[in-house]
Amino acid sequence: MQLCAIIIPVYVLTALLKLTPFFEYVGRLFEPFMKFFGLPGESAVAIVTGTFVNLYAAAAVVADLDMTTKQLTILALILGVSHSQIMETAIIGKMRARPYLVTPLRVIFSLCAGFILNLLMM
Amino acid sequence: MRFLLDTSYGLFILLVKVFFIVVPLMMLLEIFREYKLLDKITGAVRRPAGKLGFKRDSIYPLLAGIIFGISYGGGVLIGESSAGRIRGNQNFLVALYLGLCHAVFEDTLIFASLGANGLIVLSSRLLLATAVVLVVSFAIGERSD
Repeated sequence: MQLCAIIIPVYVLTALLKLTPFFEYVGRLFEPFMKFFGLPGESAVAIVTGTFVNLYAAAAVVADLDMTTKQLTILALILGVSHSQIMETAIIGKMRARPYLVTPLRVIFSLCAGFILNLLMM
Repeated sequence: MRFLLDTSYGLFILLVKVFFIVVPLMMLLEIFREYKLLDKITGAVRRPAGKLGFKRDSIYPLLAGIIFGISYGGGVLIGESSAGRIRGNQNFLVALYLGLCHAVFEDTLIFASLGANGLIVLSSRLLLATAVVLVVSFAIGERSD
């Protein structure tokens, strides 16, 4: 029951946000930074969508892009570490498990992991 | 109108999925606890998990999250936490590990289906979560029981 009290409002909120150009706009903002991860600029929209909504929404964006296996693997690692942040932060908050630390750490480590994997993969 | 239909349909599907995963999982947990089966199963991962600073009671919710994810495993996570079986800093350690690495099957398959190397993604996430929790539990002085 406690879980429903989180899932329902968060799901509706993200569905409403998806109607607006919010993710598109924020994604464009981060385009120039994608080269640090060896990724094409448009993939920023996938990362922003995945971060706020979920991996299925991100996958729908990725499916429209033309990327190599290496790029897809890096993007999958970044999104795997940091995604569905609105929903998952709410649940971690309900656990009283310091969401104000866990959520920023996920974002930071996702970018570090993507950066390092880009250097490691030939 | 279209939005209302799509959203309520998507929400309904999500809640049904959560229900069918969470309810059996919680029943299973109660049965396991009753017959002390949990002790035997967590015994297998207790040593490595203990090295990371996890106490015995934190291991089941940790495993539930790693396999089912934070959303589907959320019922177990919140339940165990509010029942007081995951206490204090253990909540933080469990959430930190799961934040970096959870729903290992679902998440990996989504991107493997698009052409990513699932093996690299999965092993990197496990490695990252393990390394970060090892350092953090040491830094905050959280020990296994």
